[in-house]
Amino acid sequence: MTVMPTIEEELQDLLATHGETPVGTDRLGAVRRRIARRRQVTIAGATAAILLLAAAIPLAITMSARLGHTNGPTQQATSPAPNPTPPDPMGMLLPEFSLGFRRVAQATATFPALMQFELVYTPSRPSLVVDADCRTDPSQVLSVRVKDAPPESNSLLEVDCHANGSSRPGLHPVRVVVHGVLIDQMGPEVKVGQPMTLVVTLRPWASAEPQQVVHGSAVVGVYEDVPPADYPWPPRPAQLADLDQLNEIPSIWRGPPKPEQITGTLDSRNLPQPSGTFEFTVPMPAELRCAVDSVAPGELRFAVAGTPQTDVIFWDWQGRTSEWGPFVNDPVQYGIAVGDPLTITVTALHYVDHGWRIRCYDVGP
Amino acid sequence: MDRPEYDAFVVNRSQRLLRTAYLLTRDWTSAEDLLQAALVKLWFAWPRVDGDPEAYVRRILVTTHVSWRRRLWRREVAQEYLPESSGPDETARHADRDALWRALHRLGPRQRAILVLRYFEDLPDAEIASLLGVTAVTVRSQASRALARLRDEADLSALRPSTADNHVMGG
Repeated sequence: MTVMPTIEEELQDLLATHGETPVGTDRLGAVRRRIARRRQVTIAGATAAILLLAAAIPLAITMSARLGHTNGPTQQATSPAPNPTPPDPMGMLLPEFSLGFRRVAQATATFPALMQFELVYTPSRPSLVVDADCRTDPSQVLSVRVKDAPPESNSLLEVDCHANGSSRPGLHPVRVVVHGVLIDQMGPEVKVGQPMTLVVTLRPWASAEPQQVVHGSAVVGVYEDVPPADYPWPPRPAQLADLDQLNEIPSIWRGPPKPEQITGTLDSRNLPQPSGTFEFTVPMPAELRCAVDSVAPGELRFAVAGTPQTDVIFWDWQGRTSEWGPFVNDPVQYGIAVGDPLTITVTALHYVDHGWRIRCYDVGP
Repeated sequence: MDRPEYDAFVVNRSQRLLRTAYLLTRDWTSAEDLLQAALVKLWFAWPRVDGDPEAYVRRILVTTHVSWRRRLWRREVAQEYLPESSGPDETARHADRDALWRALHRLGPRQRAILVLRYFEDLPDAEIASLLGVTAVTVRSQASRALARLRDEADLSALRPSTADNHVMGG
């Protein structure tokens, strides 16, 4: 009997063996050069500070005497520095529509006046996505939780803050995972049509850092998905991205496919119109996967040998490649054998530009 | 600038720390850069370091990586060719490992650091807690959440939807 390894065992094995550690680097030499540079910078900085101080003291005394101030330069130097002006949270508002989602609720806060705040929202869809931007000291984390949720439940979102804009995950392109949360997973009290409260808290991520007053701002938004037919597609840019330049590697495949693995392509640039229903045929390999490229928004529906498969929706004019195109690893399921012609049907909706392409690959062993 | 003990530490002990840096950053160039930055900090702190300098460097690696990641955040795209598959089982194993590797790097920097310190460095939770400046309870809960997320995400390829009801966003 084969025993499946646990995730911990798999992780231990992966961490110990992934990638071959490079050898032969003159690390000590490189580190010595860095140390020397840093010492030079430190010495130069200290020298400059001394020179500035030497110049500033007589100047400050002179100005003070001219203005009749009683405060000497020493007192000015020891007075507390003014607090940095936090960014205006109204200037950081999250977009109303993005990647197929519509913002349905939003709250903002300025720190340190409000280190914890609430956002009340009534779900109208069975799933929601939370997005946040947090601009403050990088030792801080913005955490979003459902109010009164059990203590062991996960935060809906944790955002690492940064003075120039947080490293926010944003709206995840795949709706069903990661930051998309199904309402019924959030607790028995959370239901469509009933108000719910999210609690947003700013806290330090490592208490090893000395605690200090933080200044900054945050904005948190709740998004719900919008059906493609109701979505306001973004306006067309003056120039489209180049479909042929899309080279993103399908992330769930076993490495990027090689050109010789292509078994068939359907390119909208060779079609009379970009939207409509089209067919193409490829010889069935042991395993087939198709990548979908698009530089325009629209919806692509697929059927393999007449059987519907996953739809792929592109929401913007960013050039993107999706690995979720037609996929067959069991030809028998479709009533065909390896080597038989396989018909793939593509229905393109909402496309106004010839900006999509399907590339199918033989990825069998 | 002569510190023979420091030099010996860099020569003899830093190679293993490079792997820790790699597990945090995912590519060897960034890992080498991160490690060298940590070793420079160690040199300046050398007279003050009590006990094992490796623990000190490990702490610097983690904290520096987190601050770098905030500053230089970018979308991560898989860029590695995987070894040629040698059969269905091996192929599935490579796919699983690849999914797990990518899922590991979709974790937040703290959760990733906790898993690396726990499952590669074999550090006890109390030591990880001390290193990260959090409580052991936080380490345990964060590790638990991270593992749960890995289980979910590593299964993505296996959970590929097959009906037209599952809309997937492009890219």
